[in-house]
Amino acid sequence: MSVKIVLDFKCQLLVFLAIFLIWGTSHAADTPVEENKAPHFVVVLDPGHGGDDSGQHLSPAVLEKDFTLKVAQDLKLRLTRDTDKTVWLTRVKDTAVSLKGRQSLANAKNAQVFISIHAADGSLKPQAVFVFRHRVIDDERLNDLTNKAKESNLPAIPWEMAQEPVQAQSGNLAKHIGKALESANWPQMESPVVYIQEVPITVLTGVKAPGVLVEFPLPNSPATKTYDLFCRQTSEALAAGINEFLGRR
Amino acid sequence: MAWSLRGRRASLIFIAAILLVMAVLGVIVYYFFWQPASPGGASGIADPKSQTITLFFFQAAEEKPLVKSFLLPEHLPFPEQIRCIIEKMTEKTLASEPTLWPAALRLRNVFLRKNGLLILDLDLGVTYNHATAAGELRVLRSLVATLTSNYPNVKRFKFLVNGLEQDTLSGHVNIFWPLSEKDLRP
Repeated sequence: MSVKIVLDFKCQLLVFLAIFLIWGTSHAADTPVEENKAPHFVVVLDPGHGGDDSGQHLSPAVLEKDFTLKVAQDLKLRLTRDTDKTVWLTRVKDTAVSLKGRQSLANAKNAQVFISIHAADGSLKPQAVFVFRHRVIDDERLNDLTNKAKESNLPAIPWEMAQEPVQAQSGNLAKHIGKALESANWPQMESPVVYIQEVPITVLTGVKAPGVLVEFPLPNSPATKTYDLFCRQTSEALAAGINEFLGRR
Repeated sequence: MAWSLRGRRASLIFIAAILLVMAVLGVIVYYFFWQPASPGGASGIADPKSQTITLFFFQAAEEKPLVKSFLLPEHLPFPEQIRCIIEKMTEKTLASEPTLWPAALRLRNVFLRKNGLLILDLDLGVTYNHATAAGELRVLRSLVATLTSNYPNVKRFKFLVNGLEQDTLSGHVNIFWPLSEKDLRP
């Protein structure tokens, strides 16, 4: 017994329209929407140390790991005031994160800027602020790496060479941050001297984005008010440097 | 009685004469025959030969290092020479003298490869030092510059901690791959 479904013209039209609409909407979802969007930047901030690794004892009451986290959180607030930035922190509380884990996060989030924040006891060199950029391995070491990678079948070279394509940009980032730090208005510190140095830095080694490690001299045994002000001024100067860099890329 | 007086005087004169002769002989022997023991001299026990070791102490910010030197006996085997140098660099006798991480930098072993690679195996204590990035750089640079300058056959350095490869000594400067003096020059 066969059943014949006979559709009248209206039904045929409705079915046709439904199919057309379904096809149209699914196709539209695949098509990129052309809009005049402002560029969006991803910044990864790395508060140094954390967990068991307290970093330097900056004063009896202040550990380096706490200072770096406070500055990073304040800096995140400043940077996200503008909607053109997404900011990630490699740690959001007092936890231990491996150096490789910090670099991996920056790469996974497709960071355009990576800043590792550190501090030193300011009683030794009270005015010295260090901005370190990574020194990429030289040809001799590259040969060593190539041989080692061949022997062990390990992808050693890409990780070590991650900073090479962005070396010039890391240099620019260091310059902009250095300039902003020079004009920072820190408490208990007159005319800071910024040293920009290029050395092999582990936390920058595998980062594909332009990156620097910054080390600040915290005044010895600061009062709470001075400490808070120092953190605020530090994050303000860093924010100015990052914005300047992103604006002039 | 008279004899005894004369005899006593004669014996006194005799003793005085003997003392005078002995003093003259003493002076002659002292000036013409006596030679104090000198290094490598005729005493038979020669002091070991020494070499001057120059120590460099870099301050991370300044380009010019502070320089100190000391005498190291040449007869010491090579690992002992390196151990002595590191001990000298970590020694702090005066507050004003430069030093590197006293009590933290201890050498466990040292090996020199034919290709000029010096492998320094440091004690685990070095990782507990909570140094800054600038401080870590200062220590590595001073150590590398001192050993390169005093041993021209040493070209590169590989740092181990308790016999194992490490990324850093204190969380900052990359020591995983062999370093040369040039790599640490900021």
